[in-house]
Amino acid sequence: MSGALAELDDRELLARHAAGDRDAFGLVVERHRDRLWRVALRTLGNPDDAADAVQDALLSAYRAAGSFRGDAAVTTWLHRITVNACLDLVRRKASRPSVALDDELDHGDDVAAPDLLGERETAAEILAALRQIGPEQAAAVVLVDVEGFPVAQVAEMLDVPVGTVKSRCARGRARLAALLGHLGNPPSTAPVEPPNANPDASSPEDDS
Amino acid sequence: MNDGPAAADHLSLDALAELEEGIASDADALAGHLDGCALCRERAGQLRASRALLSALPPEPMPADVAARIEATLAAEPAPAAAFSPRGDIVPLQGRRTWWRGPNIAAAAAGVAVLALGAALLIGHLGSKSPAESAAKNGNRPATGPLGAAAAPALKQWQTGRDYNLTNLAALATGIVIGDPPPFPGAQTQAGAQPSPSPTTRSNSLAPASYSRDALRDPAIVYACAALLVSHPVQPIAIDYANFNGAPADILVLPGLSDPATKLAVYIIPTACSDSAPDLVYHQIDRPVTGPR
Repeated sequence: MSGALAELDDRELLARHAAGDRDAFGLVVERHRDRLWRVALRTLGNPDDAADAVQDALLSAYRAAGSFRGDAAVTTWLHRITVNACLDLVRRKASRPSVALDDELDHGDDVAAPDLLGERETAAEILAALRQIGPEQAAAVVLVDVEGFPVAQVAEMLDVPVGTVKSRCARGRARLAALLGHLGNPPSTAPVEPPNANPDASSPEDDS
Repeated sequence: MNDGPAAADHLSLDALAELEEGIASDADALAGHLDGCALCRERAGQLRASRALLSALPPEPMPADVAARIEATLAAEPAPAAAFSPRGDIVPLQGRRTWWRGPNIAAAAAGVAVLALGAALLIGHLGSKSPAESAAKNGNRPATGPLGAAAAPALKQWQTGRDYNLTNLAALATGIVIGDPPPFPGAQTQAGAQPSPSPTTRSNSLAPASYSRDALRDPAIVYACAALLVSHPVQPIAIDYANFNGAPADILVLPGLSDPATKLAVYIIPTACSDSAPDLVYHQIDRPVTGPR
């Protein structure tokens, strides 16, 4: 990536991209991909789906960058596209025969330092709980409570009124508290128990 | 979700979460109860504890394989075009056919006749076989349609397999208009060939009611389909054999009906190209400023 590009802000990069600069969008991706990944992963609770959703989202952004309106923050815009891609993906999957989603909870580095094991298990359990509460509530909770975005900005990202964000957060938090109650005070010793767990790891992953 | 054995006078997790978020309808009463109830305060603590777990989730960088895959996908995209505005307006399906019944489009009737002519030519050409079968048989058959204008840009045939929906439709449709498709598998060449219109066949009855989606692999059928949809011969701009809301569908982009210079008409064809197909979706978007080249 050229050093000159790296000094531009996201908005300027999008403008460069729309003007045909092939390197500009890559920088935008580099800056935002980890957070978009986290949001998608935790909204969907599944790494494979999250990868698909983020890819769809970034493709849409790549193509629509020319229509990006300067009055929206690039971060907000990208999150909006990503959450939409997540919801689309869930709708798409809902219209198909269900498939096991739980094989990838340990996705990532297989070897973790011993002192991180508890943390990883907790993270996996939280992921499973987020998946259980559904993508709309999960997205609201993730954006507000995990990523720390202000409610008003999340309302823009989700394209819903502020009150809707608040009620989705409240309902989502209540359900998460019920699902994660056992993690509350003592360090986690409970086994990961994802919903609809499929013990047969060799079962077909996809329907095609 | 039921929060457990809360008696009517205790607060559910939902109520506590609403209270905390400032959206409880009877906040004063709830807060009053909370003040004097150890059980409910404990539950509020449970709520806070799970929020704390969320905010303590470890950072999770995008896995390298996912990042690489996305990078490769973007690298394979056509270069971005100069600024365009793919924001479009959705036209109710029910209304999509009414435009040509308007008073100022009497010419549409003539268009129908021309359409019938074009379609008749095609049908005559194809005989009674399925279009796909005929297309396979006639390797060098004409690729241009009823208009057959040599100056008209070639139809862009895509097979992205992407999943379109009403959110991404404008962006993706703009993309297939602006971009240049990779060689279409098994496609007939777009250059040169012309249909040989013989203006003797003039029977409306030969106009087909629909074309199957399979048939739309054939550019000539795409032209006929386009003419069928808008009731007059029209130069289709691009077609993408893809998906819509998760199900296979062809995305056909035509010049805008109301204003061909600034608009594009996007038809989503899930089953068949027919102006009476119940699942046909029509969406109008802005034509990219740079226009198809």
